[in-house]
Amino acid sequence: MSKKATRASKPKPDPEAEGSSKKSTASALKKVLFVSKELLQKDADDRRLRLERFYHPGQGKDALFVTHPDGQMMELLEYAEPRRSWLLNSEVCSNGRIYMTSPVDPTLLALHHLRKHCAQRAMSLDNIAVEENSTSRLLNEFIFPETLKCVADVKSSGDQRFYKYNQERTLAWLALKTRHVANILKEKQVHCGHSAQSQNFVRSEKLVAENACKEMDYTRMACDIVGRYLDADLHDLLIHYLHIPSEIQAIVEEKTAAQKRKSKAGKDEGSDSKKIKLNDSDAAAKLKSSGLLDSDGDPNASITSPTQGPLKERSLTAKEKALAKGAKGTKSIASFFKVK
Amino acid sequence: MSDQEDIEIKQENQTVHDTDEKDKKHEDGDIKDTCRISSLKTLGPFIAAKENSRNTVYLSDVPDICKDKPCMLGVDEAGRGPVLGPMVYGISYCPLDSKKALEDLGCADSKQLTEEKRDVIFNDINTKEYATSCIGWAVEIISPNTISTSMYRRSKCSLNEVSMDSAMGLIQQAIDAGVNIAEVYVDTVGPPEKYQEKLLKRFPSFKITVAKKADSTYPIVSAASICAKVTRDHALKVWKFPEGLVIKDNAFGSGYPGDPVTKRFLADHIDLVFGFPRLVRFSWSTAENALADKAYDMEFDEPDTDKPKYAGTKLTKFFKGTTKSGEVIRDECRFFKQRHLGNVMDF
Amino acid sequence: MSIVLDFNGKNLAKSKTMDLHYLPAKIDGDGEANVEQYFNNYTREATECGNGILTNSLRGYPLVGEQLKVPEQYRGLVLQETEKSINKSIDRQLRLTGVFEEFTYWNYDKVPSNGDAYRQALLMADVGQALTQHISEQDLEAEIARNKENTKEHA
Repeated sequence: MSKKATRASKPKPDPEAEGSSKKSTASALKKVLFVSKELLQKDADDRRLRLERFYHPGQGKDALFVTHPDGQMMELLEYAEPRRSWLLNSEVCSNGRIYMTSPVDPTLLALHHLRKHCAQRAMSLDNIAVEENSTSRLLNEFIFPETLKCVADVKSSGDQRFYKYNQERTLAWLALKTRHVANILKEKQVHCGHSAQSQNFVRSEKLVAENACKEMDYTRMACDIVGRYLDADLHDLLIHYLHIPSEIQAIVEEKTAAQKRKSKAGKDEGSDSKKIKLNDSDAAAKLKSSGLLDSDGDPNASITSPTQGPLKERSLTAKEKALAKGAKGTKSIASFFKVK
Repeated sequence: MSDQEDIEIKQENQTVHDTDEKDKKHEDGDIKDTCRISSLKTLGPFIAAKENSRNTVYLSDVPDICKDKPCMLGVDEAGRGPVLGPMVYGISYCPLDSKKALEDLGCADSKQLTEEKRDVIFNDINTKEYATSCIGWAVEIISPNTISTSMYRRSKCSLNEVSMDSAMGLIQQAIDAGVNIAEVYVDTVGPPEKYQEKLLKRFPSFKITVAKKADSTYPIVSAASICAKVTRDHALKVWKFPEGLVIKDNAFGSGYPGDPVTKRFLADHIDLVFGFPRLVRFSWSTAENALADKAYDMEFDEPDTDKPKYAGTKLTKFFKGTTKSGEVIRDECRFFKQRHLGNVMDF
Repeated sequence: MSIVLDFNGKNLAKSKTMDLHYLPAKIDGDGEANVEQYFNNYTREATECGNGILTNSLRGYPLVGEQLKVPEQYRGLVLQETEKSINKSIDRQLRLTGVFEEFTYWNYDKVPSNGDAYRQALLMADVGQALTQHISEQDLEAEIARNKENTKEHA
């Protein structure tokens, strides 16, 4: 199909032109939305929903949120596949997006302002950013002061409450959020790995180490999802808190392992017991210390710990040790290119 | 046709083959029967009763003699080039020793025949005892909709492939109907060698001849050619537009891009959104060009970019982009990006 | 300036159900379209491809589709801006054109599957739920303690 520019012959409705055919004027501006039933008014409710702009820390600028007069808010997301359009009854609509509401914890949005204004001193919400309309509206209309306890120290004086940002509590709270998200990713079997072909490995070679990697993939993606609501530096702190290795490191490790698997398959077929060792004890330790791998005896163990026992069974050959060491995050980009 | 509503619309590719129908028809006298083609007159109603956005296959009754004696079978097509209407594939067959019947029909060189003469021969094939007793035929009407959708598949299917599939499908149906095939003659516009190879692979026991202009060399191919051509002409005559268009006398011209009547038809029947009625083969460059300036631009996924959109993390991902002012650009997280999800800044 | 979604509960309840097709093409135009004659007329069931699978074509491009329900937790709405005010300080108004509980989803020459970006995108609803899941003071304290313990171990 040609990608020619808009042509003059097309009946482009002009939204500014008053009195022109109303139908075509309006049709150009139709939009398709999925709105949460939680937000939508029941029969007698005469109030109106609004689209409002609030600062989105992950975007670094204002984004739109759907607000309900009772203080509920949701993020407005768009599903924007590159080539989509709608037929709506007997009209065509070039805007092929689906706008959908998505629950968001407004505390995540508040964090940016708390860190900015309440890092050194405690402040009451109505004193933060009084000159910024949308910020004070966010803090005073949509935040449940109760949940701010998770990210701030609260001091009360009479009716007034004062908040001071608490990084320790914030990171712990974000880590728990990450865990919730990781669990849902796992439950829904979302493919979180970096490679598109990780399913192609031979069955017998699906190693425990790979499972540990997968755990980390879920954690990494969950952390990225939580992180997209945070200031960049706070996101980095969370990555560090959760001991998530950089993805390029993970890729180097996986590629090295895959290469070993390949060369091994050529050399000694059938010796399945002689498994390849990644630096998996390391990965497991990291997972454990991140709190995302539950320890034995934990009632939640079944969710996260198929990786436990066999971890210790395997031994390294000298060569493998050397390779694994080389793959351990010390490699330069240049050396990565050599590993095909 | 007043009685069409009563006729069950046959499924795509379904072969209409019911020998009882013939007797019934004689009993019913004048009532038109749109399930069997027994003469030139019944061809139009048969086609009109079918869905014209789908393919239709029709097989004549197989003369008993063709089940016993070794037969030759000719294959030809009609309407390959035009931008409008169906392409029709035709086969005809008769015992190797029945050449006389073909000559009597006048099947010598179909390209020399006028439309009227073709109609007469087609009628004779279906009505004259000397013909019906030894000659059978079949056609597949490949709808313009099928042609377009095949050529616009993500993994493109060329018109040659569509053609060969149709030809081989018809031969197979003849075999299934009990025709004792010994020799096959195929007219081709493309390179004969490849075609021949493909046919031999599928039907290794037949003597297969693929040749250019076979329809003027082999009378059995001429017969096939006539069946195909007459069917295509009638398909256009009885074309009814599900789009609701009414064209006087269905005067679309020959369908060849140079024909001014066809050009006019194309220019006058452009729909801003849907382009053309599905009589038109959208995959023809003539059709594409006609739309290029007159209808809304439309863009589908490129067939060649049909690789998985996400083929592993690109290395460039790890080199963080920066804005002019030196700020690090934050990449949207992969979960969102892969799903085409994002925040809304403007509404 | 904010945007008012100018409908109430009553409007929602009385709103007309619309017929929607989600097409796999970028179309550079808006307005009236002969959907019934040029498109709906040609929708066919393709049971050979699976239960409820539909076929059609758009400008000769083969489409494979299915009737999809709007995800359970949502209602489908079609909104329309009444008139864009030149005065930027006045709230913009969007009015309700119609609602829908289902729509026809079309792919270009691909049987709809869980691999489709659209279906994958709907997972965001679950992720959003997880993201807003309440975290108890107790869990938070436990996590803080665990982290402290870990830091000590590694020190």
